[in-house]
Amino acid sequence: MLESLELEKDPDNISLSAQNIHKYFGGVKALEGASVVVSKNKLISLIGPNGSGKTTLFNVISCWSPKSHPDDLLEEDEVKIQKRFLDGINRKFGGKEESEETPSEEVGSVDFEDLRLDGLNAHEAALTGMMRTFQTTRNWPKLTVLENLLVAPQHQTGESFINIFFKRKQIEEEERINTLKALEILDFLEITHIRDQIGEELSGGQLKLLALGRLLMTAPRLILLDEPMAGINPTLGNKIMDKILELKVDSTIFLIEHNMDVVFNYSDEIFVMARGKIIAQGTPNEIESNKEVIEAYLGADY
Amino acid sequence: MAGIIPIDIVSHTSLIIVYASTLILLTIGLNMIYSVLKFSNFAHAEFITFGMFTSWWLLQILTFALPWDSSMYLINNLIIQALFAFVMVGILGIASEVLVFGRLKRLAANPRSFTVASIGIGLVIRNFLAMIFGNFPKPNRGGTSIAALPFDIDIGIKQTLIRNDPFFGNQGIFITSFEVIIILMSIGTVFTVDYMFRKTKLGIAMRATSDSVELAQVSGINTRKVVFYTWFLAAGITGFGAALLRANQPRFSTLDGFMMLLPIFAVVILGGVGSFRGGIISAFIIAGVRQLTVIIFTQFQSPGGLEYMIEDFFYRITGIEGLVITFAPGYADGVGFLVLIFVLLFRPQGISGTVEATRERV
Amino acid sequence: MAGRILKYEMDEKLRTLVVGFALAIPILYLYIYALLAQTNKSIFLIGTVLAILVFFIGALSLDLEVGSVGLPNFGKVAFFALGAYISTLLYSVYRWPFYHIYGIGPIAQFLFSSLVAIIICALVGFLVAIPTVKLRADYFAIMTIAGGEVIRLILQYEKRWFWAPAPVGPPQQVISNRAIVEFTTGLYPFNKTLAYFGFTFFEDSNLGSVFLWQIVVIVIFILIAITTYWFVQQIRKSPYGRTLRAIREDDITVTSVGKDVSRFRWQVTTLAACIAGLAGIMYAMTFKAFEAGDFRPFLTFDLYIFIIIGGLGNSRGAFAGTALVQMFLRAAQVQEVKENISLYLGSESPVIGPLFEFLQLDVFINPDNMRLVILGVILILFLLFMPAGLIPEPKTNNEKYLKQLTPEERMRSDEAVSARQSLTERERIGNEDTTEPSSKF
Repeated sequence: MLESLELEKDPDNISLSAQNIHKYFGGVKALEGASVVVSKNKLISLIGPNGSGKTTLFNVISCWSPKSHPDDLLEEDEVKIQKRFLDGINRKFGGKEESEETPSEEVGSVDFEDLRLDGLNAHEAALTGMMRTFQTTRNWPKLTVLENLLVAPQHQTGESFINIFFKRKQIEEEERINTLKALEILDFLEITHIRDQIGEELSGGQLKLLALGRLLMTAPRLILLDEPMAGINPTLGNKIMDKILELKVDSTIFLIEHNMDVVFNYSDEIFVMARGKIIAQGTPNEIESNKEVIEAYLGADY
Repeated sequence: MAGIIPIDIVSHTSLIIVYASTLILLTIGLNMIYSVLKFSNFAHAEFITFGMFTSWWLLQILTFALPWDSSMYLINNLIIQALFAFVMVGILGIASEVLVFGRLKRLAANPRSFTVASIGIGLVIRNFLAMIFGNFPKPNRGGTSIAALPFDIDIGIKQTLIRNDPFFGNQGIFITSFEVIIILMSIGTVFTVDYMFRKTKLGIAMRATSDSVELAQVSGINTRKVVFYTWFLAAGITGFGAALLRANQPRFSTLDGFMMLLPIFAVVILGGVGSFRGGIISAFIIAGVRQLTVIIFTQFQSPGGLEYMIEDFFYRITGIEGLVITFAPGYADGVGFLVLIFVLLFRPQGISGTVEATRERV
Repeated sequence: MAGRILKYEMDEKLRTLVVGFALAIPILYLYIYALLAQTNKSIFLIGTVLAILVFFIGALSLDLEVGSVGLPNFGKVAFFALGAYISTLLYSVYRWPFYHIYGIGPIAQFLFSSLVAIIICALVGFLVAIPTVKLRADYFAIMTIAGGEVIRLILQYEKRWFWAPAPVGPPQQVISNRAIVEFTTGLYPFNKTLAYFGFTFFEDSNLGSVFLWQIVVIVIFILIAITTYWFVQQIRKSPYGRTLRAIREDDITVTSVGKDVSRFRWQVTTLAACIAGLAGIMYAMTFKAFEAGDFRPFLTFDLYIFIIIGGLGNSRGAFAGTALVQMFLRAAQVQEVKENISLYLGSESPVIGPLFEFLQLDVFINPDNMRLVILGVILILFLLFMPAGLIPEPKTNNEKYLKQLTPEERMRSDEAVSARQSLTERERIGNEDTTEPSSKF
């Protein structure tokens, strides 16, 4: 069923494709071959019970943690090293073609548009135009809200040490443009009034909005949101959701959320995760009637 | 081959065992603090100094307060001195928690502040001792002995096995009675603490506190009490070890503890934070590497050794003298640091530890 | 109790003022007392000024790392040592042929040796930084202490390279820097007192005589200090410095917006190593003779005391802390002060002496250690009750950014702020739960 759905998708229109991702923490299997394909300019949700590996999948996609090799769990260390060693010798001297192995299928891969993300550092992944937020609201407590936004733009001239002394004009010009952009984003998120406050004075909801604003400063094409509505009241949550919907014009949005009303009202497509695998995907209507999902998510006797 | 001095292998081995035992005994406390309270206590080095001086001070007091003949056992009893140091340093540990670290924790200060504060405490203790007792190395007066022990090993083991052999040179074991006690005590203490950590109620409470203070509190553990116990035991064991170490040295000074700072951190990090058995292995590695450096570098520096060969080689090519690095045996103090650096670079979690050395990940 | 009063019941500025005076007045009193006990007061004064300037640059270097990026570097002393050793060896021990060019030779050699020293410091700083900047704060501290000790051991034991070759006999461990001496002795007009030029202020006020070269050295040091200060301030004010502050507060978020945190960290560490090397060169010129044993980790601890008392993350604080503590240290070294300390607190004092005798303590109140005890206690008190220091890091504001906008844009933004504020106020009155207290989870 999963393959048939993937075939329907137009390859030019795919924003993110993560295939067969494995992740083990010691002996704990967090992800066991999870695969997601996200189309452009859609709002896609990822739901699933606690501990089903949603955040881990986000971490692997955004290169915050390396994915595991499927063999890692199966074999003892020494056997594994021996196998890798022998593989290497075979490849080098035994005339074994590299193409015989298809590592992407076995190991899994993460592609963002045309880019293979495997092996990138977290900041390099962020530079490709894929931004993420975190479950806990992180900010820079001693910086003002405006500064919080101004740190975010990528490839600033003023961030190179030499340029501080030799490209002052250019830095000033860039700062001006960034300031205007930051004010615009504050306006868009309706938090202009906290412009002059410092990070540690903000409330939980304001911090969530600030995290969103920081991410918008970089003009991302794909936004990974990890529970944007956790821990804030429903009124503000809906406001944040409306803002997120407006972003759909320019970017793809992929979010983890526990609020089912929001997920089923706003999403174009829903992925359901359980025990480290994607067990179902489809439009909200399809998911709502999916027996497997209800069993996994809410328990068998729902 | 020219330039080889016969190596006293047996004697070097006994030195390694003694040094490793000292390291084990002195790192148990640091490891406890590290694993339960989750910060590196740089003042630990000064806990060692404090233990040395308090045990010595007890000897002074007893010597002058009691008539020498009647209370020989009491005055000269190493175990009593060590127990006194245990209590005193334990109290010092609790004081540092009450006065500084506990307050810092309540202020939710960042890890940097803890590091700086512990160094500040070390500064105060070290200089306070120097202020009271004088900065110069103190001779071990009074002739500490181990009169209270039931068996008489006062002489220690001093046995020359081979004398003036053309190939082996001299081979002999030289272990004083104090060193025997240090070895026995370190083995005993490390297994007791390991057992306590894994099996007893207090140990389980400590581990629970180390995992999550809030969760431990919810489970009905008085975490404040657990923290105090941890400090008392950790600092106390350190003081105990320091008293034994002091008795074994001909003289001691206020800088002795600070000189141990990096080796003991190397042992804890190499062994893995929270792993006492890993600490045993790493103590032997550090002691072994140190002693090996002394042996090898002494060989290199001997007439006709590597140092002279290199110098001669470059002198023939360039005509300039002294184009060589010096293989001073004094580098043995630095080799421990090099081990530490390599451990942190390549295996930051240590031999068997679980604590990540890199910064927090998501 | 005192802590509670300091913490809650005082305005921040007032508290800074009170604590500042509480520290400064005794220190000044002690310093003046020590000064009056001197026979040649001007030498004492000039020595203090030079020491303050040298350690100010060292403190700036440390503050750039600890205050700006949050890397607790405890191996700073290694760069002091490298700067001092390399510049001195290249200038005073090994002489290049161009030293003998008349007129500019010595100066060229001096500048060249200083440059080499700074470059080597940068290289070593870079090599140390690359593997260490990823580590946790306390592991970074241990690593840097260990690295510093390794460098000190090398300087101590490599007698072929780092010891001063003596004309007769084996090389000497003590190295002497002859830079200031060579530029001044015998050179007119530097070797004349100020009175020679008609400026008799120092003689008139009974301070002893001051040579012109001393004034010249002070002026050069002040110029170097001002340049370094300007340099550090430029970094702090730039977008680069803003990102550094963000890294100090939360490096994960900085990574998540696509910035290479390690790059910023190693750049700052390397830069700070250069500045520390500069301080080391000045150290060698000021203190003239030194050896490897002078560069133990305790010197780094001193720098920490300076910046924590002065205030982390701002250069003026580094200066205030350095000046106060250096004055205290200098004053406490004077023989008369020492004697008074042991008179009132030592075994000679009427109350404490018998007590110590009763406790069988061979009391020997060592003033050198006593001043470090006092400093350590002050350091801990500051960490507990005034973590921001005497001069706290200035609170950031948006004025800098809003100033760049055109007046219309600025007015529009300000209006939007006030409009949104009043709107939110109304919303809050209407709907009580619009804003929640900050939740940290």
